[in-house]
Amino acid sequence: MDALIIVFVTGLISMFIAMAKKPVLVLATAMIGLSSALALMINQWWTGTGFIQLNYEGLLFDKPSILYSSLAISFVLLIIAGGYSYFKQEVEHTGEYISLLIFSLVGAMCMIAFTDLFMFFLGLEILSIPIYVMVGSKKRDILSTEASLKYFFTGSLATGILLFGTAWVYGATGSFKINEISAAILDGSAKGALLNVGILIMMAAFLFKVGAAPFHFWSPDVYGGAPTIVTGFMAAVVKLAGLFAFLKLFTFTFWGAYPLWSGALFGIIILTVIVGNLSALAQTRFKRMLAFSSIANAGYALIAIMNQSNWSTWNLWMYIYGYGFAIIALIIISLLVNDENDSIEGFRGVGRKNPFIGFVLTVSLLSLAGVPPLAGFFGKYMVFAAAFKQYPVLVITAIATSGIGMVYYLRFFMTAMAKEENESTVEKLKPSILQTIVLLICAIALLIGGYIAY
Amino acid sequence: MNSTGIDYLPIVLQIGVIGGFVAFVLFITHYLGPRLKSKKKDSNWECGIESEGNARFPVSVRYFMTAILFVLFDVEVIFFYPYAVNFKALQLEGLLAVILFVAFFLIGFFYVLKKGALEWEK
Repeated sequence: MDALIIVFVTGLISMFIAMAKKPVLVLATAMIGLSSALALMINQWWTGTGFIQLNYEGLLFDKPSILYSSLAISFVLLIIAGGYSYFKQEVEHTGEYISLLIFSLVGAMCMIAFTDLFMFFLGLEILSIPIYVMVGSKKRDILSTEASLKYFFTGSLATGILLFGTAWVYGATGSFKINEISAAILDGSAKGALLNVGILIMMAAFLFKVGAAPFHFWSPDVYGGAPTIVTGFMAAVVKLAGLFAFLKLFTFTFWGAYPLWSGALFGIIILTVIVGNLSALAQTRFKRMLAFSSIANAGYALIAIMNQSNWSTWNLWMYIYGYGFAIIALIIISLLVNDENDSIEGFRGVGRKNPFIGFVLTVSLLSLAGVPPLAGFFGKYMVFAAAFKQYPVLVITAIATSGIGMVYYLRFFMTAMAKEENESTVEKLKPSILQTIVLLICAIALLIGGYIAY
Repeated sequence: MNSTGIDYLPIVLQIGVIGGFVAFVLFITHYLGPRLKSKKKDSNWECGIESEGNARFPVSVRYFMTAILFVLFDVEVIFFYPYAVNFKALQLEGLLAVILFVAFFLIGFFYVLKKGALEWEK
């Protein structure tokens, strides 16, 4: 709870400190604030209580919530540090860019720690609204504006549908608190038809937010049009918050209605992994490829939600850990390459120009593809292994499609490592010190991921 | 959890009513009401006054900024009404909550002033 307040105040201060027109100050404020929030989270993990005793019935930072919140804060730290060279281009708006991302993090943390549906909805909105703005933050770019408008319209429709579903669930169970809802479903006092329709409507809205297959049409356009660094934020932080809230709400709260929603989710996961991977094969633009790959990855992560065990929280965390760090590294490399058309061909020869970047690129692509010593492999392995006994068909489909996934990751890797045709025009890629540190952290996190898993 | 098909009847009815209403309205408007067509009525800016010049030029957004900020602070005032009614019952805790709420708005107002969103001549 204290960490949440620190994050919020950090956002406010960095918004006002930007009036001094010194981007370095904004960066320093954001870094110090988020690091101290992270420290508070770690403190709470070890001592069990916050630094200051603050309690609110709608939010509870228990151990899983602390784990996910810490990961979200780390992602945002890396994204802000890595994207600083982009944020400071427009001195007028540096403060807004950074503070909007931090406000969005506040929403993500509310979504992670919620204990009633009201707080959850508030968190979702605090998370989404700054993102609508950030997607359109390249004001003179027509694609960015288009992406923002599309995301806003479809996103607010999904929000409306979610509210509608919440109203049905409230009507059936008579409560907003998740433990009361869970109890009402388990002891059978909730009315059947009302509850079933409510749960299915809520699931549709959720699947929209995480971008699963029949509800994924917004994501390639939005990911492609958004400024690169915002694409990274959406892929890492928004997915993290959405998937954990999904897990908390469905696997733990709506457990009594498992036969109802598991059937629907089963079909959706199979559709998602197939559509995501096959569409990614055909992409020539980097961010669109990333969008389809993130659809496929959402499909794999949803498998963790299908089976309830004490480990599913941890499995999902490990999966998002591997996915998030890899995506952030790729996004920062794409920011460095800065190809006008954002095409995959623009990455040709990146590995030869700067071997360090080539190394980080290799690690993150192999991790996404799921090659053994890296974090991505352990995440996938844990999720698949937990679900294999109950759903062999699902896991076999997922493994087969991740084989397809390997094709486009490795094709991208080959392009990046290939020799450039006209050597004379080679200019060295120069990451700033901050970006070097961020890339190093991502690579290390991916390399040691396996040790964390044990 | 055990619901039979008949439980879903109200939902199906609701969907039927929604679809039926849309179809009915679309259908009936073609038959009700006179259909008059003239050059003036079909022009895209029909309000009784001859249109002049081209409509496609940039419009100042200053008015929009002022209006949207007005709505924001107007909502703040609306929140005071329920507080005023329960002023005594909420005691000190209520007062602190409202002070926090107003403080957030003041921070926002300060930001708006600093950003120059209310400067008309700019």
